Amino acid sequence: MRYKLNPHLAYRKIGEFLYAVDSKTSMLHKFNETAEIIFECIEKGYDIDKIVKKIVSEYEIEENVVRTDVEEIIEEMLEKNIIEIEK
Amino acid sequence: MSKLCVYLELVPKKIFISLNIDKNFFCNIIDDYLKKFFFDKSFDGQILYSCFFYKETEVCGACVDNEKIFIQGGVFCFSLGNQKFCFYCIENSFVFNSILRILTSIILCLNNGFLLHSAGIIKNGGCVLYSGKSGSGKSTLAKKVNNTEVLSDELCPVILINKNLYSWPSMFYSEVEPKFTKYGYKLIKIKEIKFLSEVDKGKEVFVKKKENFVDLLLTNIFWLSKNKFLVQTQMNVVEKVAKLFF
Repeated sequence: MRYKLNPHLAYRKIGEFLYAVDSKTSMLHKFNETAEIIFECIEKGYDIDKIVKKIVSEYEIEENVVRTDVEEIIEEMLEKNIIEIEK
Repeated sequence: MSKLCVYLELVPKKIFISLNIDKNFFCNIIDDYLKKFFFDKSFDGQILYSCFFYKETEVCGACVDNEKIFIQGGVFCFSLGNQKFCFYCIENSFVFNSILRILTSIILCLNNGFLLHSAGIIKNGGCVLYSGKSGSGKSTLAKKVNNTEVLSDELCPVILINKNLYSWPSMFYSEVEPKFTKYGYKLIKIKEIKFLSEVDKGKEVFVKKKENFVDLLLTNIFWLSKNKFLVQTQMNVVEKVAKLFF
């Protein structure tokens, strides 16, 4: 399954953190490091497998741990309307 | 119903507004609430709004060209370059004030600025903005000083010019009406932006890290929702402002 960013989202890295505002609802989001990586991967069109692979290779964490985290964060991003499922 | 054409000259942009509203309604609003905030064209060109006057006109055509604002039939449209911004409204004083907030915010946004939910207090020739949500004590704070020293107790304009931040007396206030005969309409340098606690009314939040400053600033901005370009521009301005303080 592929995801895409909510097209109404404006975002910017300010200082150490990535912030996003949904221009439709004015909802403000702040991302932690992992969420930021996932956000950037989704922006590039990566699917979950590719996102997991990228994080595993960069941070040397076990794949099953990373996958659980990625799936949880993606689920949260979907709930908060930060991303959408690409049809 | 007579149509009014409002001309708002700004530095550096000029914007026309066509208001399809009743002349009496418009004049009453201006008289009751906003009159003193609009001033003569001949005033010092350093400031952002240099004039705001109106005349009756049958045909305006303001919605045709770019860099113009159009209000008709409850729709408020603004176009700039390829961007088109639309808002919906009805005719009453509350909505008219909201339109002015949006309009002011757009103008500020396009000039490296934003409206900040804050009480602005003059201090030592500059000003300090105490930013906070509704109920955080902005008006209470403003009431403690003479209203000749208050820029607003609700929404202050913030603009970045040559790595300095400025504000000026705001037309958007809540309980404390700013009287600014002493400072006229000059830009007033912002010396500090402080934040008021949402939990302890009137208490300042101690901000040490850039991260906290940005979080609080983003939380208290008057966001230009509905338009991604403007929201993105506002975020870019916040980044620049954060760099000034940290």
